[in-house]
Amino acid sequence: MRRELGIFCAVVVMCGFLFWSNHDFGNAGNILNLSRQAAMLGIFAIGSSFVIITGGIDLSVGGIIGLTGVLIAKISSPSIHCLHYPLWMGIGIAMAVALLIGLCQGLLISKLKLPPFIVTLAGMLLWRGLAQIITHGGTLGLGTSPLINLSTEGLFRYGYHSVLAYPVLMFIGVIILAGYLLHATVFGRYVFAIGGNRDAARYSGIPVDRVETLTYVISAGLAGVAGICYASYIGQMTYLVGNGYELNAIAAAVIGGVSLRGGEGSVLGAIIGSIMLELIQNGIILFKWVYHVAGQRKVFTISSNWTYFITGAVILLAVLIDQLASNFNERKRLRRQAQVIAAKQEGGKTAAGAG
Amino acid sequence: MRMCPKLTLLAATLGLTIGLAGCSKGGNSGGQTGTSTSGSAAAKPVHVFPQSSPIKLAFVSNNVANYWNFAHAGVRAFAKKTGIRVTFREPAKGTVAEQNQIIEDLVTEGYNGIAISVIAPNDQIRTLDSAARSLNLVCVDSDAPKSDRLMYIGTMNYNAGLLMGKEIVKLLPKGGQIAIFVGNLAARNAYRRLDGIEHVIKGHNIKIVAKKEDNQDYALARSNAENVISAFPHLKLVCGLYSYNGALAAAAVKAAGDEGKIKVIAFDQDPDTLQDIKTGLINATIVQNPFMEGYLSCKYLRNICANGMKAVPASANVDTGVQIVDVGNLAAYQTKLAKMMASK
Repeated sequence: MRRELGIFCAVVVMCGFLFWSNHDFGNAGNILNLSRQAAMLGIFAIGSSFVIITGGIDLSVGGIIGLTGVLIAKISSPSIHCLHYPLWMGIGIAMAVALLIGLCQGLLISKLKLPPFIVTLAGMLLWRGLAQIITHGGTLGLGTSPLINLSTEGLFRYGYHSVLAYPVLMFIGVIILAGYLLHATVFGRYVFAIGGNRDAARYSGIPVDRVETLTYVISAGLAGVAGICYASYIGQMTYLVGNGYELNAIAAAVIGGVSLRGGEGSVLGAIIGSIMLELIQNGIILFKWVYHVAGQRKVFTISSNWTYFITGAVILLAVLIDQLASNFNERKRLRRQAQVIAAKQEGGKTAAGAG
Repeated sequence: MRMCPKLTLLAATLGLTIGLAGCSKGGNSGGQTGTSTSGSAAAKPVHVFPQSSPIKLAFVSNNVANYWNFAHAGVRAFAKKTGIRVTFREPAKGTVAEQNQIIEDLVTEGYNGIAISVIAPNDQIRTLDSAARSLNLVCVDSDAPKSDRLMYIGTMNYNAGLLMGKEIVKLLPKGGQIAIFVGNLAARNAYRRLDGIEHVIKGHNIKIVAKKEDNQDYALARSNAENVISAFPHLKLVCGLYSYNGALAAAAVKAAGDEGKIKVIAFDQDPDTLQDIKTGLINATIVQNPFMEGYLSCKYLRNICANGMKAVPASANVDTGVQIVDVGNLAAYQTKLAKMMASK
């Protein structure tokens, strides 16, 4: 929890700094855009966190996001080259496909003991390839499909904007469900136990295979939900949508304190990590520093070319802080242990002396 | 000494492969190779093939996109008219390695001419020059002027930028802030378009306040537009330099409730862009002519294979032209597009 608090403080400081540099950062429009962007990333970052906490990795989420959106467009868009079926059918089939993919990948990993990296790497290529075949390498527009409104419409209006856009509402739903599942159920404890020590978990009777498979189903399912949001947000689907998003999910999770070694992490961490990543993107565009040279007003802005560099630096910093904190806690624990042992020995000597 | 059967099989396979490769390379035999100085001081190899044997041509795109469907239609129209078979190849991932592999395969298969949209003009010179030693090479859409290609057919991107700049000036007579959205600003077509725009808007009180790249990540393209609209409340116009940028910037403008307040100019003829022109969300788009790129590249290749560089203009450039499509001429343009695609 301390780790999440640290990252949360960093987010607050960054927000304050950005608002100081450019008051437009605090505009309702910007905050609502930012919340929507973070929500879409957060949905599948939470899914990936489940897998990472068990000590696994899911590289197929980007491919699933792309495939889900392409399937929805292909099945239900009223545009040309599409099948014009009802939207619910498109969403239903796309979600079923996403869950099935998760199940297949999960079974391959848990039952056949194939490495998660290889299985999901193959999945990434397979699902992106399938999307490419469906789109014939081109674009499938959503046209006048009602899905287009999903990313902008929502509850409560402030001026022209919806305060709680549907992707944000979906994110809140995902947070509640995932938070409950991971932190308040036996299943959640199993997830942490498997990530902490797989063999110990197996010997203590935890159904490791079933739990592990389920985490991949959750990850793929949430990637499917994110795919629906992105399809709505972009309005035109190509097989390239979602390309590289698996790394965004991993980055968000890691920044939020989910350990790649497994056994550690939280839903809250994945949320804060997602906000941090989107904040970097947003901040690079909004950051302004006004200064004067020889009475002339100058404005310093950050080039978009810095995005990857800054994101990489933040991830590295997060992992470094994690490691340092972990080392510090370990040393503290050992010191306490040594003190307890010394106190016991001291007590033993005193008792022996008295005897 | 008795040879191991596996080794024998390996040696036989290797021998057969080398033999086949030798035969394939012989596919070009019978042609005459000369040199050309058209459009460049350096001599470039030109191959003239006897008209008695059928020629084999290929068109290589730089990725898989809707844009190439129109070029493919042009290629098919040429093939239908002349009876010459033209192979159409698209690098699925749009990478340099993939495109180089396609070029090498076509050379090995004995093709007589290739029309290619080069992905990385400066990084592929060795592969392009190597191919140009065996066949006639022309560039389409994306040029590699430093290579041994014989000519370029396509949009003069600087001219397209000039046209876009003029439209921006027309839409903003009093000037104002504008933002540019693009996939990759390092790509020649992108920066030449931008050069053209900057040349025209100079002195018209129009300031480019943001140039944002998205590396063809559509979601990033939209969030870039949203963030820029938030960052610059006095923004007057957004301009998309890649085919998808216009529609995504328009979606961000609509989501921000700035329809009409922020004008939108796009590039190319994506269905969403044309739909947004119809609804008034996008003011205009600059369209290229991929159909003619497909058709003319094959036509020039055929002529070069038959008669050398006689039919090629001295500049070694053929402009397929650009035009502005707005709500006034949208219907006529869509009819033209439908006719082009029907000619497949």
